[in-house]
Amino acid sequence: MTKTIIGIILFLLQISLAIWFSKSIDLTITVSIAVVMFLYVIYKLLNGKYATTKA
Amino acid sequence: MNKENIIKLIILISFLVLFLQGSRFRSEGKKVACSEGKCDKPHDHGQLNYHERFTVTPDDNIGMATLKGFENFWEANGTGMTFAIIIGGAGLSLLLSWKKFEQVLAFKGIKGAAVGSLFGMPLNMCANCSAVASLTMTSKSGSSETTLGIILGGALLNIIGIVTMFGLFSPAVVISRLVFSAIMILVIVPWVSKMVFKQETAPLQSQVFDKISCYFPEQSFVQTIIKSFEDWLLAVGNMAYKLIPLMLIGTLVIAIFRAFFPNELLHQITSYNSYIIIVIVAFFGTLLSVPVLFEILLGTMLYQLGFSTGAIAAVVCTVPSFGLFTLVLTKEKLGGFKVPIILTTLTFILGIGAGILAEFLTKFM
Repeated sequence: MTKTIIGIILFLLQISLAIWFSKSIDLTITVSIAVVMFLYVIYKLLNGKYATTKA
Repeated sequence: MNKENIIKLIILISFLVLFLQGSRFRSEGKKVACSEGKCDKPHDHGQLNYHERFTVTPDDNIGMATLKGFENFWEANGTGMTFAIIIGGAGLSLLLSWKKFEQVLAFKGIKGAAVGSLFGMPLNMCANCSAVASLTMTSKSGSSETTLGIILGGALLNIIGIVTMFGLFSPAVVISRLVFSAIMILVIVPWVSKMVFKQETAPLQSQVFDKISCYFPEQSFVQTIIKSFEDWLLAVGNMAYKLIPLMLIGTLVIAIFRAFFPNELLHQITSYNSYIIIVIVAFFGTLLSVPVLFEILLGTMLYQLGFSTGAIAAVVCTVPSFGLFTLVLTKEKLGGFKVPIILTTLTFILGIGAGILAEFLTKFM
C-alpha cells in the first residue's frame, strides 16, 4: 500500500504540474475528485481498513 | 454486467469525454491551424512542440539543450500523459472487476492487435501518452497484442491527423501512412508478440489489485460510486508509481537525442539523392518521439524545404509510431529490450517502405 500512496502523491504532483502548464478545466475537475478520494483512502488507511494489503 | 461495472464503465467513458472535450480537441484544432500556417506565430514553432516555453538555440551547449528539451517535451505531453494515467487507471479498475473486459484485452494474434487499435483510436493521443494508457490498462492481464495495438492505434489512427494530412500533402503520403499503419498493427504487432510469448515475464501485479477486484456493496448506490472512484485512484496510484519514473527516463532519452539531432540537421541533406533522404528521414523519425500531430508539422517543414513526397511519407509514418520513449516504457511488459528494439527496427524498415511507396504513387497521381 505504501507504494500505491507514493504513486498517488506522484500522480497528484504530475496533475498539478499539468494544470499549471495548461490551466484546463478537465484536469481541475479530475484533481478535485482525486484529492477527495485521496483523503478518503488516507482515512481508511489510518483506520486499518487496508491492513491485509502488503504492497 | 452488474451495477458496479456499469458505474466503472461510465467513469471510464466520462474521463475520456472530459479529456477530449476539455482540452484535446481544442489543442488539436490549434495544431491543425499551426500546420496550415494560420497561427499567430508561424515562425515560432519549436523542436518538439508547436510552441515551446524554452527555445533551443544553436548557442546552447548539450547540457542546456537537453534541459530545455526535457522541459519542453514534458510540458508538451503534460495533459496527455496525465490523462493517459487517469483513463488507463479507469480501464484497469474496470478490468479488475469485469471478467469479460479482461478477456477482450487478453485476445491474441491479429484479433488482439485489431481490438487494441480500436481501443486506442478514440484516445487521440500520441504514442507516448497512449503507451502510458495502454500499459496501465493492460498491466494485470492484457496480451502484448492489445498493449501494442492500443499504442499504435492511438498514434497512427488519429482521424483528425489523417484528415489534416489529406488537406496538406499529396494523397500518396496519406495512402502510404494508411498502408504503414495497417501493416504495423495487423502484421508486425502479432508477429513480434509471438516472441514476447516465449519470454514473457510475470505481469505487473500488486496485492493492492485484490482490494480493487473485491465484491461491491451493491445494496448502496452511493457506496458503490465511492468504491468505484476509490478503486480508480488505487489503480492510478499503483501504475503512477511504476510509470512516472519510466516516463522521466524516456523524456530524458528523447531530450538527449534532440540535443544531438535537432531539426536543423534536416536542412543539410536537401541536396542528397531522394532515396538516401528517405533512409535518413526514416532513421531520424523512428528514434524520435513527439506529441500528438507534431509529425504533420515536421512533414510541412520538409515540404517547405522542397523534400519529395517519399521523405514526407517517411516522416509522418515513423515519427508518431514506436520510438525511443515507447521503447523505454514497454521494456518490462515486452519482457526486456529485445522485442521493443525489433519493433523499432521494423518501424524504420517499414518507414523506408512507406517513403518508397509514396514516391511510386506520386508518379501516378
